[in-house]
Amino acid sequence: MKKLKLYTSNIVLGLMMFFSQALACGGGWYWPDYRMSIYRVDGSSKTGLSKEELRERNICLWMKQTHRSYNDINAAVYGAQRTDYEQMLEERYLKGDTAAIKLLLLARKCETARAQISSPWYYGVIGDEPQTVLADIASESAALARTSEVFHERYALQSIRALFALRQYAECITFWNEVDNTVKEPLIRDLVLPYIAGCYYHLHQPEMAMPIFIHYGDMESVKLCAKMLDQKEEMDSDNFEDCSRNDNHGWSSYHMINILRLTAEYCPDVPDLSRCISRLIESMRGDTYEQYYYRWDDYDEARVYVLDAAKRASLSNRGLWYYAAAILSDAISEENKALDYLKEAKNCPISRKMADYIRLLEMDIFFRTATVNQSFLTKLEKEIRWIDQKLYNSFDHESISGYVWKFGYWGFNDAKPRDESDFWNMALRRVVISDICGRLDQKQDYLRMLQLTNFAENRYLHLCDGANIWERRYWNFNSVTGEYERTDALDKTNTCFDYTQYVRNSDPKEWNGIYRTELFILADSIPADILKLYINWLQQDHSGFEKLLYYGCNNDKDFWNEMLGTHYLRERRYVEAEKTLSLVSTDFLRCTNIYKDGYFTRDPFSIDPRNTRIDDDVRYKYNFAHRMSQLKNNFTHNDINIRAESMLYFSLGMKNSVEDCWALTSYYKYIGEEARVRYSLGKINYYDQIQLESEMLEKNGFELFSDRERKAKALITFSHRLEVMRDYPETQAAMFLQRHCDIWKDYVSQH
Amino acid sequence: MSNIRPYLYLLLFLLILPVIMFAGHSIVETCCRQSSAFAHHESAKSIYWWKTVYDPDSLELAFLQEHNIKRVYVRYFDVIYDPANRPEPIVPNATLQFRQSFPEDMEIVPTIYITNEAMASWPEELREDESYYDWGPKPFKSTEYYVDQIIYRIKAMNIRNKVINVREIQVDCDWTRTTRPMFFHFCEELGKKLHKEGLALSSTIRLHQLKDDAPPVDRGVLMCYNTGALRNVTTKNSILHADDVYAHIKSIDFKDYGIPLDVAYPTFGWSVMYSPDKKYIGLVKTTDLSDTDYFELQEDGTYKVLKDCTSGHSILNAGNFLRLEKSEFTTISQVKSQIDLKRDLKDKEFSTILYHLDSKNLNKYSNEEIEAIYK
Repeated sequence: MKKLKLYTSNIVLGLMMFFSQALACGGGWYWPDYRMSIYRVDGSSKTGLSKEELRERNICLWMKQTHRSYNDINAAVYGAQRTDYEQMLEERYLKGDTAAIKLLLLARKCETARAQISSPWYYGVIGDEPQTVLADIASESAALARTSEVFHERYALQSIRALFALRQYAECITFWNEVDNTVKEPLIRDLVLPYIAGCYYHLHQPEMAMPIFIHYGDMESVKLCAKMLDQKEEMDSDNFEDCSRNDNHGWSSYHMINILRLTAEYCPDVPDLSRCISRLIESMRGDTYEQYYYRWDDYDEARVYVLDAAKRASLSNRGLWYYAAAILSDAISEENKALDYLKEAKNCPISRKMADYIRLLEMDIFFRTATVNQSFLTKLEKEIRWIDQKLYNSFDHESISGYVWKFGYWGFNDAKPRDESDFWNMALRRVVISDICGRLDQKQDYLRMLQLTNFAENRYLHLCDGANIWERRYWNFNSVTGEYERTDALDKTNTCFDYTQYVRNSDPKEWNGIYRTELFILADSIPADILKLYINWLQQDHSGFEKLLYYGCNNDKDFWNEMLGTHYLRERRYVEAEKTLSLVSTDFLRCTNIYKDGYFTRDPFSIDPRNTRIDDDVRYKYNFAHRMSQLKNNFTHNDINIRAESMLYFSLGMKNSVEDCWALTSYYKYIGEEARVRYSLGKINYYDQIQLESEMLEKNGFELFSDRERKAKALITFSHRLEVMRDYPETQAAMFLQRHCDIWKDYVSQH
Repeated sequence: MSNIRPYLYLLLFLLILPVIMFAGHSIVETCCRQSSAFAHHESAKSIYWWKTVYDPDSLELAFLQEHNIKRVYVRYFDVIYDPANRPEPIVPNATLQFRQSFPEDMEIVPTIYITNEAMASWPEELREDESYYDWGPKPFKSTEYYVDQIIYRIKAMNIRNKVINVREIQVDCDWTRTTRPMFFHFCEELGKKLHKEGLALSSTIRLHQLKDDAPPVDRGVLMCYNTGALRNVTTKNSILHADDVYAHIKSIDFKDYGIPLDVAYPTFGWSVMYSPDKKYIGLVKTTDLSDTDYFELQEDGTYKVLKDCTSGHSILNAGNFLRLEKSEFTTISQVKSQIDLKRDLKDKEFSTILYHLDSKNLNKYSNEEIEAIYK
């Protein structure tokens, strides 16, 4: 039986997109989409318009147009809710710039009227106030769009907004056609065109609207257009939903396939086709959770339309459609067909970028399907070098710092690449972590997996280093304005952090992100000896391909030693743990999330650790390892009772180290069921083993005692009170119990 | 001793003066509320229009004329709670579409149905328990805001649709003990603003609400329908049953209720569908179950569906049961007799209202029966 391939079989890492919940005492997590990233076919930096992105671009344009500072523009353009707005513009933010002030006041008036009209409570009456205001604004702005020197494009936007709100869609398009050639600024065009698409839709011209909506990634509107096109084709709504897809998953898939069909049929050569295909394929193929609603047949059907479009499209666009067919074939595990379509695509005139994407998909298929042998490893080296070169060449320091500056690297969790270099970053991660490591995992080649994962995960960070990448700006939701507002954390972020500094400078109350990386998950799941080998490798000199893999990787000795020490604790190798943990700096330990969360205060040698607090000590793990080593030494003590007591406390420490004091051996405890798959520690099932050993030791310890009094005391400590009263009633311990507890007093009187 | 008596009387008078003044104030206030210029409520044959489109057919228009209906309570829109609309989750819904105009001399009472859920989510200023909002952001719109929006919207609908003869606004809400404070506060605020515009405020009163205080409005309309438990399979007729009504009104005298009451009687019917194991499924619009090929009368008075069929948008599966519910004239008469015994006969503005104007239902009554209900 065929089964839709979701790359889940590779390794546990391959499941990452499925589980996006917050886990494992981490912070915001950088989780790029491994699957989709390599299917992009346009490769341009623009990947849809987020509110924040538009805001930033708008501020930048205003700064250019008015020569004012960022903060002044931010306050002037986004502070319209202030009651003293006009005064603040005139006296402070835009002092002397009457043209800009005039425009902003008009914009505020326009937005106020638009808000009134778009309120669910609005009930339009011809000539009512908001309509009158908007009509005035539309005509005034239209005039200024032709005459204003600096702001003619912005006035065009205002006029279009007003006309759209007035539902004068035809007038809106007519006006836009008049001024289209004069509006060159990409931002203004990006702001205007969705309105124009909306106008076309309302004028029942979905074939005009749909390409624009696809271009801007507004898939909900695309679906509406598709439905309208369907209706135009006299497919009635019953048929629309009937098509054997009236189950839950079918409806949305039918929509997307239908959209693909309609695009293929109506606009196989739409301008900016690559972006259109990207959008459609991304929507189907896995950019969103929606992918899981698609069935085998859906991809098959979509491929028919795509191939049909490939035949009818102009030669210059044909390659794109074949590429799309390859993606869909790959999605249903028809890799050979996918490779055939890629060949077809290569036979068409294609851009260099397209050729790159084809190579990427070819290698993706290869690494998922080929046998791991020497030629696999040779190709691995060659292709990783190639991707790395692409990443390096496309890396734009200024652009990267801009993006990260806005969102912060760890806080950015978007499946879509932000620019060309980020695309190659995602491609690197996808190919290395998901594809290659998946195969190496089957071969248990953990050392190579660690080398590759550390490289793939940190190469981009390495390139960003010095670009002030760490959590540059903070956005908070203002419930009064309903807007996200930036808090002024800019000064703080002028400090340039590197990787290790980031961890050590993390907020004492906030989790840092290092325990939420693929590298962490992998390193956390392998045996200590392999980890030790890798740590040794990190300390060696490297050459050739290994040198590349070493570039920019996380080589924070504290991080690795702390992790190795923890692994030793899991594996009950307390002497090695003590030695390794002694190397970890207290500065680093203070930044670990489990310390920040207060788990280092539970007494691991108490029968009730949760309620037996010890002093907060950052060297908690070391202290534990040290005590366990001492107890272990006592196993050969001459005094058999000391030997017995040591075994008991040793067993208790072991048991607690995976139960209430789990922070000694793990970095997380309570995770969801799905996450348990992702964070599987299947390679080293230490929990059951420790429980077993602990029980055995406890049993042996009690049997070893020769001193009845000491045994009775130990029994009380370990909550075996009944046994004390029953078998050791003559001891001081039993009498103490009897004196201090009514239950046991009654017990004695009754037995 | 007799010399001090006048002083004692004076002292006594001074002591009871505040009580007299307070009582006087209350009397004046009550009088004002009931007989002020804005609340020009005349006794008139009235009817509800409760559909989402105002497009009466010829029979409905004829009904208005033949029975000399002078007032129509028209549902303008619902006010619902829609969390998707945060930060303004209380929004209008199902706004009436006007396909025809009302006769100019017809008094129209714009009626707003407010869901109890919307009332339960009413702005925080009324909340006693602030923790109610712990689960999410607090709405920041106030009662005043919603009152303004409702008035604005009614006025806008009147203007656009040329509804001229409006003297009163009615609010309809199935408020409960929990939502009563919010609803009463809302009525107070709405009433104040409407009075300034020369309009009166009325409210529907459900039978179960009678046991509570009257809402602070100028008049009420006692809804003598939907009296039984709809979903309960043992209910005989959930639309109207004399016993159900009597249980609610037996201990109440209209004149003591606090506000004058009009009364609304049902003139509609439907069928209530249950599964073969007698679990409630839903309402079916039809009341025609006479086709014996499809429906079989059972001993308990219900009908069994014999073959799969449809009725409007409903699918009637074989094996299901239907409870036919009609507003029989005899039942209405019976209830009306009970009500008349309780009525405040001094209330000269008393009106009877039918629910609702729908030719498919009204043609089941003779003209005489309709007139008898209105009498």
